[in-house]
Parts: sequence; structure tokens; C-alpha cells
Amino acid sequence: MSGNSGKTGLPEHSEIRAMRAEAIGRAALLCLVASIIPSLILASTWPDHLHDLIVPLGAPVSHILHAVMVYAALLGALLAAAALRDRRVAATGRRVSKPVAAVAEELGQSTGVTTDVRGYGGLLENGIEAASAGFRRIIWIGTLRERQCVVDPSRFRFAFAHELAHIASGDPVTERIVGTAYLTGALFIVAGIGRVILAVVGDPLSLMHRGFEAVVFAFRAALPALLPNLLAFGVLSALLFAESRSARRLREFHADAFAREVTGNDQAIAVSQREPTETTSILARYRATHPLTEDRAKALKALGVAWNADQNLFVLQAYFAATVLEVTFQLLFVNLSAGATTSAERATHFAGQLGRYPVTVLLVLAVAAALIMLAQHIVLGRFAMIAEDQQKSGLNPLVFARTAGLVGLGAFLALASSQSTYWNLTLANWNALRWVEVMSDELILHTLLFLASSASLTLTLGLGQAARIRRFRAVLAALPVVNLFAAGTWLYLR
Amino acid sequence: MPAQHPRDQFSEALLSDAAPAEAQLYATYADAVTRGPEAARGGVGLGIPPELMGALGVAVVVTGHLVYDLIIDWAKDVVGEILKKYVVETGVAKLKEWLGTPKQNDLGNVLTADGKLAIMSVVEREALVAKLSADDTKALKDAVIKRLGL
Repeated sequence: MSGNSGKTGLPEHSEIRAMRAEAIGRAALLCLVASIIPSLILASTWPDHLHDLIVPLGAPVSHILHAVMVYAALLGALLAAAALRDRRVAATGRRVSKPVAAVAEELGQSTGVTTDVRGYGGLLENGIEAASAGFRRIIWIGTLRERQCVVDPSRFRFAFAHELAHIASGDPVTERIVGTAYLTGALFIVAGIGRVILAVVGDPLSLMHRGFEAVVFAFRAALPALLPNLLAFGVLSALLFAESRSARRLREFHADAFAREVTGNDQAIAVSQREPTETTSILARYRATHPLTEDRAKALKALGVAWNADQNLFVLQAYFAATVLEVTFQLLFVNLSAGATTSAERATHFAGQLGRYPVTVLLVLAVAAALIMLAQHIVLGRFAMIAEDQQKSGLNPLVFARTAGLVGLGAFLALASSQSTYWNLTLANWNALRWVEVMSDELILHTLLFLASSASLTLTLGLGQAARIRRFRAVLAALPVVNLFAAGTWLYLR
Repeated sequence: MPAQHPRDQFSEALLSDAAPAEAQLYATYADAVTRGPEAARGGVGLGIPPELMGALGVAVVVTGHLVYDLIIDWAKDVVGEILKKYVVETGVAKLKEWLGTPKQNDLGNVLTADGKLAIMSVVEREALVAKLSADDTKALKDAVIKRLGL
């Protein structure tokens, strides 16, 4: 069997479609953030190497464009290398047994999703995986999993249908792209940190002739300058990783829901089946690629469990939106308007930059608006599902309070880990009131972002089922951006 | 189509006797015996292992291969000391005939008491390693005894 289809032949439950839509949105946002922000970091830390590298456009567009081009080239090279490796792996494996082939044929026809099926592994191999190799879609079945087909056929059918869901949704390809985008972004961040270290500490090798103590002294003296950068990059990397894992767990819930729909089996997952290494520690749960087994077992009977399982989505999306706002400030008020340290100075400089580089400024604003809207759109979709699930058991205002609290936490983390916050506090001699006075314009915009996000969540509650309609959700997602533009116009252009 | 190796004939016959439901999986198990742990396929998995109560079919195939290889080692004993211990004097020819066509022959009256004990020790050890239940261990032993005519 070969080929795959993104659509299935089944009339799918609307909640399964909603899960898939959220998974696509989150993958897109993750790829965008993992590409744009590291490209900006590279552009700001290696400007001399990137300036007019290929296309003569002048600063700062040249730096950013060429950083994006380098990112795209590196991403393409890594994806090509991964595809070559996948092709080599695809040539291995063995023919599966007749019982397995029969189940694959039957479920493939009933779902309209067809794939290659290959056996692999030694005697104790119990894996079952959906993978891609170029244009081929393959489900790999381990030895003991083939045995399951004979000794526990209903559970095997569920497992196979689960993997068909991954194939139908393009999850192996998504995982490959997101993982590679993340790796490429991480390499860019490391390059950025390296450049900052070189700039602040100087070339450590040139200090070696004065002894190792001189190198240590230089690093220690540079710590106040290095730490904010390391903190900002570290928090961004950690949250990108957390979001990629969180999105992956959602895809597992989606695959379980699809398999339950196809096989009618809501007993297929039992807590007794959990991996021996599965723990419930917070760190393990954040790093896990699959949800907890007990959550998966419950979600088979009540899909609302899946919607409520991963609340850190709200923290992450709020962090992304606030970070995009911070990066926008960085670009407009630091890179373009160096030396502007007060609200009045920033207003003066911004008006001037808008007149001198309208394309650059508007492009930055447009990209930032699109990213903030996308993040908000995803959050609203999830909140609408949670609210709908809660309404079945009676609406609880604590649900809204918890979500708004998580959104606020994400926004706070973005502000607290921002380099700009650190620098401006330093300039204000760590006087919080002085800092608030000097940064009042940016703080107003951050506060508006949080309030408008919370308002759109409240309206989602009020609209009920209608909130799941696309145009209503698009309007609610635009609410924070509209408010930011209105406030920004008043603050900087009046 | 190449003729099936006598070792595979014996192991497949054992599998049909001990775990008839898994007989269709013989080719899978036989291939898996030659493979060690493989690297992850780079795909997206289920994340939950299949519930196992001791994989009888897997244990049968491994045991069949080990028993056959053990008997081959005895037959290769040129000096004859090992052969004398495990095989009765008049049974050498029948032993070699069995090694060629194990499905059509058995080892009734071929092995000494030590020989039978050596084979059943292998069977019990593999049943322990595979964590087979008492019933499955009995099924494995009965299949070996039946196929070898012990």
C-alpha cells in the first residue's frame, strides 16, 4: 500500500477537527517564532557579517533579510539530511505477518488512509510508529506489537488506528519540520550568545597569555552584561521546547480520539499499560512527548479531559505574544532609535523613523500583529472548547479566573526575562517607580495586551457555541492587536 | 523458493504445537531473532507498550533454535566424548537423520537421560527468561517433548 490522504473517509466528530486545527495553528506559530526571533537575534549580533551579504538593501532590512535567508538555507539543508536518513531507514525492515496486513488493509479502507506497513526490531521490540520518508508514509510495527495483533486484536486495532491518525494529520512531517526549525533556531541563539560573549569578554584566547586567571576575571567582570542575554535566550529556548512538547501531547490526544472513533473502543488504554519509566513529576510531565496514561484513558470516555489537560498552553501563548511585543520595541526603539530612553524621546524618534523607513517599520508592525493574532487565535480556540466542556457541568467562573491568571503569568515571564527590562532597570538605578515612569508607554502597551486578551476570553464565554465560528474567533483574536495599534498611535503619533 | 532450514522447520513445528494462535507470526519471530535492538524509526509512536503476559511464541522460537543448535553441537563432536554422554550408541544415525528433517522424525530412544535433561534445562531456562506463566511453560515443555519424542 502506498500514498496518504490528509482527509479521511469518516464523518469526524467536530472536537477531533478542532484538535487538529489547534495542532496546525500551534505548529505554524512554533515554526514562526523559532525562525523569526532567532533570525532577529542573529541579525542584531552579527550585523557586519550579514550586511548586504547578497542583496544590497542597507541596514537594518539587509541584516534581517539575510539572517532569514541563512535560516532558510540551514533549515533546508538539515531537512534534506533528515530526509536522506529517513530514506535509508525506510529501505530496512521486513514484511509484516498476514494478520497485521489484514488489519492494515481493513482499517485503511474504512478510514481512507493508506500507508506502507513494515515490521522491524528484535524479539523484544514493542514499538509502533508512524513515520515519513520522502513522500512515503510508513507505519513501523515492532515484533511484540505484531504479536499483539494475534493475542489482543482489539488493542492492536486501536494502536494501528492511532498511528493512522498521525499519518492522516501529517504529524510525522510536522514533527520533522518543527524539530528542525527548533534546532536551527537553537544554533542561531548559540551563535548569538557566542557573539555577545566575544563582544563583552573579548577574545578569551588573546587573554590566555596572561594566564587562566585573567580569562576567569574577564568573564566575571562581564557577567552583569552576559546574564540578561543568557536569561532571555535561555527562557525563550526553554519555552519553545515546552511548547513543542505540549503541542505534541495534544496530537496524541487527537490520535487517541480518532482511534476511538474508528474502532469504537474506549477501553483500549489502561493505567496498567503505562511505561515503567512514566512519572508524574512536573518536570517529567513538561518534557513528556505523550500525555499521562491515566489522562489518555479518561479522555477516551470524555474528550473534555484532553482540553483541560495542558493548561500551560495559555502561559506559553501569552509569553509569545508579549515577547513579540518586546522584540518589536527592541527593533523600533533600540535598533532604529538608538539613544531614545524616555517615552517622549521614543515618540519623537518613532515618528521620524516612520517617515524615513516606512516599509521597514510597517513590515515589523505587520509581522508582529500577525504573530500576536495567531497566538490569540489558538488560545481562543482552546478556551472555547474548555468553556463548552464546562458548560455541560455548569459554568464555573474559576475556569476563566484560572485561564486569565495563566495568561498574566506568561506575560509577566516575558517582561521579567526581557533584556530591555534589565537594562532599563539598571539605567533607573533599580528604582522601580523611576523605571515605571520612564517605561510608562511600553508598560501601558503590555497591560493593554493582557487586558484585551482577557477581554476576548470573556467574550468567548459570552458567545458560547458561536465562539467556535471562524469569523467570530478571528474578530476576537484581532481585539488585542486593534487595541495596541490604537494605543500606539495615541502614544507615539499624536 | 528456497527450502526451509531444518532449524526453522523444527521451531515452526514447535510454535504450531505450543502457541497455535501465533503460528502465523513465525517468519516475524525468526527474523527478529537475528536482529538486535534497533534505533528509533524517527516516527510518532503510541507511547504505551502492549500488555504482555510473557510472550510465549517468542520464547518458543528462541527455545527451538537453541535446542536445535545444541543437538547440532553434539553431532559435531568428532572425538565422541560428548556424543557418548548425551546420545545412545545406536542412535547416532537417527540423530543425524533428525537434524536433516526434524518434522518427519523424532529422537525417541536416541537420547540418554543426560541428553533429555540437558534439553529440558534449556527449555526451563528460556521459560524463566521470558517470564512465562505456569500454563505457558507447560505448553512449551509439552511441545518439545512431543516434537522430540522424549
